[in-house]
Amino acid sequence: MVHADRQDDRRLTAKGRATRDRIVQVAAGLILSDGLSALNMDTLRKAASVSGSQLAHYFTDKQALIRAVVARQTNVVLDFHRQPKLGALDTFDDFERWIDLNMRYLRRIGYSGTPTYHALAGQLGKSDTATRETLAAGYWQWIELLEQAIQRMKDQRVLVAHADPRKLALVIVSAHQGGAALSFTYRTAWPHADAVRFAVNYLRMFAEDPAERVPRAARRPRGRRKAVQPA
Amino acid sequence: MSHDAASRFTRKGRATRARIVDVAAKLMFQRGVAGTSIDEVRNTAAVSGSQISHYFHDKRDLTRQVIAARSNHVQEFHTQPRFGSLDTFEALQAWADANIADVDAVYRRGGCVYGSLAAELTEADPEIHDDLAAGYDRWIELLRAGLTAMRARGDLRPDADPRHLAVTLVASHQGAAMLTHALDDPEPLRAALNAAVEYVRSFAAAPKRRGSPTRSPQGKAKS
Repeated sequence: MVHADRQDDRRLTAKGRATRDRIVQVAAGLILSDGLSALNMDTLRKAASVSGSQLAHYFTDKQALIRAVVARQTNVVLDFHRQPKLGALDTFDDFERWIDLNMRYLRRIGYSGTPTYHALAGQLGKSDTATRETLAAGYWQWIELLEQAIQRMKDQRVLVAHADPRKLALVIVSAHQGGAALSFTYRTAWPHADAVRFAVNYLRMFAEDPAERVPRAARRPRGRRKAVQPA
Repeated sequence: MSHDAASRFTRKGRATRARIVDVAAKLMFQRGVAGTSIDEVRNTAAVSGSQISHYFHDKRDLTRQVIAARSNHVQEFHTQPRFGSLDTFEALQAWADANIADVDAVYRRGGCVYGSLAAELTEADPEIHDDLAAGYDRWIELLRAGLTAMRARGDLRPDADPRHLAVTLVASHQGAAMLTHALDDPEPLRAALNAAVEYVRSFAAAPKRRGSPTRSPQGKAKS
């Protein structure tokens, strides 16, 4: 998919990038609240307060816009995994922190109004082949990031030789997305907590060190978190 | 809600209504809720506009009936005789295998028949969320009951948490269905469901040793 979109960031000025970013953000919000079918260039133009020619300057058509929306959220996901707090994401401690940061992120965004990757997937998955493929490309980037992290764990003998990085990455992303979908439905955190705990416990089943293979409990005792909360 | 509404109609009326719901469910599975109009449902079901409005207030009402029908569909799938009470490792593996067997016919085409509704309706109103959550509750409960029986029987260790394991099975299924559909690839569903069942198995109680008091006469001699 080599498209010469006018969205090429590098050719834009700082102000141009800001405008383009705002359009993408507004478009993501509209897709989330009204569905992709309700999104057209006219409603978007009004919601983002830009002129038709400005919009056309940044996005040749709706498909280019959808690609930008998905690319933006893909970067949010990839950046989340690359944040310094997660180290190189190649130890069990890193993955334990991955659980904590996932739960913290979920509490911060709440259960509606944020075009998370799974929420976009829910809106875009059944529209058309090009859109579905755009969505798939973002998922593959995420899967490959985890696959490489898990491969490093294998190379460093943190994981046993028969651990399959591709499969483990698919298991982890699937658990994450399913847990998020359930949490958004229930409007509570526990489904996601169970799902990401499973993901890391499953990874632990392939630990070289028997002590690391022991599954951690999904439910922490109540009140334990209170001590670390700021007053 | 659905019982009250359904009881207003004659047997023939209920059959027509069920057929419309069935048509709507199929269209929504293919094109999504937003991509399915009442007009398309009317045309595909070959009923008149006045018939549709006789049975359903509006599209939201029809969507809620589809959610209820799909929740029943999930329930029926899980209560098939071949899965017993989903309370053995073999039954859970059979469950995973049966889902994987549907990968081309169902999951690559539109994801999960239930989950893809939930995923699309994340920004819907609280009543629709309650409908969807109630469907998940039933689903999780079915699996939890089987896992609880396994723990009580001693197939699973005391530290196995049936609720955590049940949520794991459902969440893995839901996420993998999304990925398998988006990627048009059977691998996520296969990998995730087998992993989830393998995870349950990792909580299996150690097999009873020979020489344990229940099996060995020597054991008794000690007491």
